[in-house]
Amino acid sequence: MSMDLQNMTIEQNEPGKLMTINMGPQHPSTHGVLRLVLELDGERVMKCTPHIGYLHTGIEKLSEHHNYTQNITHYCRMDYLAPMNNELAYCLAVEKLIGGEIPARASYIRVIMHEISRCMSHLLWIATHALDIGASTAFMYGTAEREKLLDIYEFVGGQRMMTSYIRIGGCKSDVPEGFDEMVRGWAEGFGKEIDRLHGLLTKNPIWLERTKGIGPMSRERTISYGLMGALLRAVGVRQDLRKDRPYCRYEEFDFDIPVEQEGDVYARYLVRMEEFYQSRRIVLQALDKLKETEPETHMWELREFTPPKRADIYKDIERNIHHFKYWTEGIKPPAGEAYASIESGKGELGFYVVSDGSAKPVRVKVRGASFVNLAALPEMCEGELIADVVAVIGAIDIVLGEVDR
Amino acid sequence: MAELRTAEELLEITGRLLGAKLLDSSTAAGDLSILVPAQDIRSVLLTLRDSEETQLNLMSSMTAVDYAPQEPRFELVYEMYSVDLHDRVRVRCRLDDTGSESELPRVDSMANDFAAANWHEREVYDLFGINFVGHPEQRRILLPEQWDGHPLRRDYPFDGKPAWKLGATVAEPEARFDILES
Repeated sequence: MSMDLQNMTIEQNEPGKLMTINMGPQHPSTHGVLRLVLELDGERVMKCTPHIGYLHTGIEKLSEHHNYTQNITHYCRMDYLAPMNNELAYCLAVEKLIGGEIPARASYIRVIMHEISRCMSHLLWIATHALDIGASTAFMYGTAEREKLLDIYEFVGGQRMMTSYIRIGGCKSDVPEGFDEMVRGWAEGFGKEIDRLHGLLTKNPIWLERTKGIGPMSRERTISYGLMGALLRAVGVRQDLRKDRPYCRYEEFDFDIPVEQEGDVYARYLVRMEEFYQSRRIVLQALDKLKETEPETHMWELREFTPPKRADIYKDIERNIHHFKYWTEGIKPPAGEAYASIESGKGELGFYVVSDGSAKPVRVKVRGASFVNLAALPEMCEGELIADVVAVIGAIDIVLGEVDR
Repeated sequence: MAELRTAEELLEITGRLLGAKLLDSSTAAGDLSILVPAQDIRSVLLTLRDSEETQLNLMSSMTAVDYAPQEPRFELVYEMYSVDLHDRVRVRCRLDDTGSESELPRVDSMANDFAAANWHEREVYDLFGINFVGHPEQRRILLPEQWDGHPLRRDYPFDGKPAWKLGATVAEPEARFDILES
């Protein structure tokens, strides 16, 4: 038993003394298995100590014992609210090691799925964030809209989660017929759905009371904590990896970076809400660009690092051998190190991969956005009321699978 | 949007700022990666943060790599990012193993200069067993406090029974059964 639990005695309820209580790991608004030890003076939080690791599955250790292709399946399971983001970041890192050009079509498919994943992450964020604060209507609209995106996921990758669709060198397969209509159909109504969420919350006096001025953070402290994504944009920094260090041909797309100045829960809310519209803009542009590309060019040309097409395996012995070698031995990127990061819904999601030239990586470090962002929670909620802790956790937008890895 | 500086340009600037502290560098895949002595890691990161030319003010990631049986065994990797200039530099330093389990390799902590380093260093301490001198509260973060061993070291077993050998506080299966019955 840890020290803070041993100190939890009834005598602490005397006036003038701090009361220590345990919030989580089963508390519904800690979004999984986060445990906070709160020291309270009445309703006010004087000290907050997060305890994480309840969902630790040793993914980084596992990565060292599986080959590069197998590893993709581990990473879908980290941020399970937007699995393709994880796959994309990992594949970009390995592709950096190998060095090779990704075809335009694969990049555009990736952009569409990346933006859809960001929307999925954001939709669950607004749904649960609003529910935690007490607005249960937004939860219904948020999850209903997310269901449409999960349908697109299933249509493209075969599953609602854990798709392993994005592979090293491109995508597992080309998008199925009817993909364009399906995504356009979703995008058509999406703007109105977000308008509706705006209508429910943005000027709602209760929502303003619960979010404005809560959990503020200065620009200097935000940068010192290494927070990125909506948390950084909410303190007036115009920073977005898609614009600043473009990957997947993001430099070809036209979109804006929303920025707010206050740095409180409400500012983070506004930033993320605006990102919905921007994601929709990018998806529509990418669909147009996708039409101009050659079908079935969803994988790069590097034969050594690409599995042969299924139909070709039975035609000649070379492809047959290659098929077995690819799936049993795995690919062997050249020795070296590479770091690639993407702007996931929660912030910067980075993968640091070290290779020694063999089929298994020496080390894979996952820079989980949730892990870094959660570190700032004590500073955000100390001095606030206990009810605001829930609002601050919601605004940080964590997923414990990524925190604990 | 201003043009990003290339890795070569950044190398020229960092080389000028760091002088003899820059031991090795690589610009593979367009990313600058530099190697510095472990005892200078704090001064190097502060120089790169405070210099007008680099402004690497955000520690985006920090980790360690175990290269055993190579010597020196550990490599610490700091991913530094500039919020305003959007440059990225990877700073690395190498640490020797002490050779004993009770005494961990030591390096200066960055937690008082970059708040982000606090949790990253706790994670590295937890999984690699590296002691960060000057860390405000160095304790395990992902694993339970009473855990023995550091799982991401190369000599820590991956699966099977031998894993319990390092976790000496965990009883053998038979002994655990006795506890349940009594």
